[in-house]
Amino acid sequence: MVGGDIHVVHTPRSQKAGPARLSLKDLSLPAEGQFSVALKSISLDVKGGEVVAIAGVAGNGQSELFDAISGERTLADAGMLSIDGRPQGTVGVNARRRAGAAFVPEERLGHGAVPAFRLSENVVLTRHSSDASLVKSGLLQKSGAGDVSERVIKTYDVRMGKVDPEARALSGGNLQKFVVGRELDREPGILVVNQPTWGVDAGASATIRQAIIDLSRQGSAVLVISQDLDEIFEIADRIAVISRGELSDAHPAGELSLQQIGLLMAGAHEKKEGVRHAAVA
Amino acid sequence: MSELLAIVLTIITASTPLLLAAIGELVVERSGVLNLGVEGMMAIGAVCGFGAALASGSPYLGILAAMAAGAALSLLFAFLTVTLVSNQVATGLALTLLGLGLSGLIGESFVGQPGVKLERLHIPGLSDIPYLGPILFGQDLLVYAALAITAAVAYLLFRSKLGLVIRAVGDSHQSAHALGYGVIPVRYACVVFGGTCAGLAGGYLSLAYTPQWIENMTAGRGWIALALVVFGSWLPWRVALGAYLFGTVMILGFAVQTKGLGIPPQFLSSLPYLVTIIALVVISGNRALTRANTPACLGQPFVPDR
Amino acid sequence: MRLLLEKRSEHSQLMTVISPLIAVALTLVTGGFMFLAMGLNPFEALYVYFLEPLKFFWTFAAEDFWPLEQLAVKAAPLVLIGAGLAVAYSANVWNIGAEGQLTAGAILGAVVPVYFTDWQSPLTLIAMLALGAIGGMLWAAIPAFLKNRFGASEILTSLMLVYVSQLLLDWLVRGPWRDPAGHNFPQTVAFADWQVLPVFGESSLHLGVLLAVIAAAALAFMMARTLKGFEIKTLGVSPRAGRFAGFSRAGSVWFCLLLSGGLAGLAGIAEVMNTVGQLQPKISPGYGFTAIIVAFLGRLNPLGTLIAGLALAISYLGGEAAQVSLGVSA
Repeated sequence: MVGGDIHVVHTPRSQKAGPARLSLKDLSLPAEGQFSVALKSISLDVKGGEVVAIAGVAGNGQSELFDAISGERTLADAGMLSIDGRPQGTVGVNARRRAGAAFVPEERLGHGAVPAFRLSENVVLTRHSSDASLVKSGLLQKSGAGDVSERVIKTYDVRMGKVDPEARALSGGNLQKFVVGRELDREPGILVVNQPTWGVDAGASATIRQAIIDLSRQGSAVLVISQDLDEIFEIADRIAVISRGELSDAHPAGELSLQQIGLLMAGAHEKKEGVRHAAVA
Repeated sequence: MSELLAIVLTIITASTPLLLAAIGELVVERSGVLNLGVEGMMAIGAVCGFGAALASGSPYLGILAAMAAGAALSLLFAFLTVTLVSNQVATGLALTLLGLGLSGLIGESFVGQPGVKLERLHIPGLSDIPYLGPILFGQDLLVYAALAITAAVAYLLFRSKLGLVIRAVGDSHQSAHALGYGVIPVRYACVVFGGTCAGLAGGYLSLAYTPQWIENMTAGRGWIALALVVFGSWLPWRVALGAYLFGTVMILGFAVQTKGLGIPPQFLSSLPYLVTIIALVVISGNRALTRANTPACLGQPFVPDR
Repeated sequence: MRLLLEKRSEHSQLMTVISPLIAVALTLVTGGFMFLAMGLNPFEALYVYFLEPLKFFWTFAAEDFWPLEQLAVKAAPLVLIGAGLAVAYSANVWNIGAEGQLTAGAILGAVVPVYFTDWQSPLTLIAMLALGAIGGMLWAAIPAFLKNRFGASEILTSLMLVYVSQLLLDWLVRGPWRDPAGHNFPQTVAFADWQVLPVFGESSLHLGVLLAVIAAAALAFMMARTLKGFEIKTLGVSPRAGRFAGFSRAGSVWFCLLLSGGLAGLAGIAEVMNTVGQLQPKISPGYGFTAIIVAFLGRLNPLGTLIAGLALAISYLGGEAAQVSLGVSA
């Protein structure tokens, strides 16, 4: 049973992590406009069976990193991003989905879901290219979308007032369960989630975190970008910190203290000219 | 040389309605509202101004009527887009079609009637200075009014608190609302100001530029004014410069036509439209320029309780 | 912790119905005041404008004349263009230069009668229709390219091109394409009877009417049932979500402009073939602009444009009636 009354998240420690399923190698991306952050030479491996979390203060390049990984902004060099060993940096979001990846952005309404679309239509939004039961030779299969939507609603306990409502009619927590559940339902090999439980009630948070951990324990690689340190310590096996577009090394969660994370958030790992700051831990 | 003088004088009268309409729309867009109804408001202003001047015999009453008509139409637009939060693009297009249709209907009996002309000023002595006199001191009142409005808008937008509020509303209506500024009243005021200017621009066409009423006499000037706001990257003096450049292009086309150089007149007539497209391309292609000045909330609906 | 206040209510069905009614009512009131200000009786004027056309309808029906035929012929270009615009507007692609694309289509389609005057083949009509559609697409491709390459507003560029196309047409019919045997009138040769669309039986209903119905139905199907329609709707209501779904904004700009431009071009050549019969300086009573109203009145639903197109066609018929009965130019 998922999402009971007692919100305890069970985290069986992963015994052995598999090979790297999502690899970032020297990923760089220029800033887009004056309020955007440039990504500088980011490297990270996420292995099958583990949850890696990226901590950081908001506005340090998290959404840019999400866009770069999801393929909403493509990269200059294919090798900057590999999925299951295959370079995918220059292809778009749907090709990366077909390669086995799934993405959940920070904004639910207007990014992860279209507010005016019904839930079944929002299923088509992210799964039209990877799920043959939704689109056949260019034609929408409404029954297929309805089936997926029903399954997600049932499995992740999405509560709502009427059958197949518009996305904007759901509460934040229920819509987040739907948006995360829509991707988990594909059983993706790689899952990237930006702020999985931001602005979500405690019950829904527990459901979502448990589902993310369960996915990783089945052998998927999970990357979580979050500002919520409690959440990170609850679910992450390894933690890296982003500040001003640079990413620190990822450290096992048990070896990092809050103080060390605080130092990294302040930019201790950033490469500055002349001075090389001492690495933490 | 008197021919050159005549050309310069015509350029000024051709540029003035463009400037009036564009400076009004600039204020509207600075407050975050996109009103595509400029052409319609100009047409209504032209026909109402013509009619009122004809009935009263006074071009100045005509001007007032033109302003009132433009303002009335823009008030309708403000109610639909600001209060009822309808789509600004769609409503603006509808306003243009409504204004053009209504002006044709109202002006049915005016076709072919001689109008009342807004005379040029004549200041004894000053206006008689060769060349400079007629250009600097011998224009009609609205030529100076257009430049005065430009100066006032430039001052108010960038040097006064009122201007700061308008720009705040246009750049981030949520923040402006959170700070306690009335987004809705500010937008209403700006839209009506824009409508008044557009009506005035229309009135200028039927009272000063060609004192008569012809259906569709605005001939796309309202759209060119909209393009001028982009061309001037939302800065008043650049918009004024743009208006005068466009007026020059329009009139030089006519001037070349009278020389009979064998260039098809249709090509010369299409020059203002082609130049508009080229100007839009050049300015829009310059992302740094447009991004710095485009009101961030332009065209976006504002619902206060969200 | 950031507070999120999210609107829970769904789009109210009531407001969807009421808001256009409010708009119409306000339009009538404003119009009435304008007439009043001009010293005219507003009720009389509104009566002439809106009710006279219906009276005309009855008069002709009583004389055993079948006005629905005329209505359908007038509605055809409005529906053909309006259905395309409805799709474009759904994607937030604001093509308002359909009148120009109509003109460009008429010009390119008329290449056949002007240069291949004697070419008589079953392919003649197909070539003319195809050229008409291509002409409209080419004209619409200009704003599409300028939008995608330079970010220039398609609203303004497409509108400016209306004036350019009309001046181009004016130049052609007064200059290189003028009928040498036409007594110096600004017009091309009259189209021969094999350069005219077939009509149904004895009526004036031509193939263009059928094309309009087919286009509206096909586009309605596309919007409701295909991934392409889903893509267009998504990019229209939520561009960010559209990008997340992997849909291309630039692609939709191209698709929508070429589609609506092509249909406008088709309407243009059909109108020239069967209603005008040759190229003249003025070939359309503003169908491309009226179709904008048709698209909105049809609630941006291609099938809705069928009804809206018929409704607005009445106003054209009414205008002709007023011209005849009152001797005024409408």
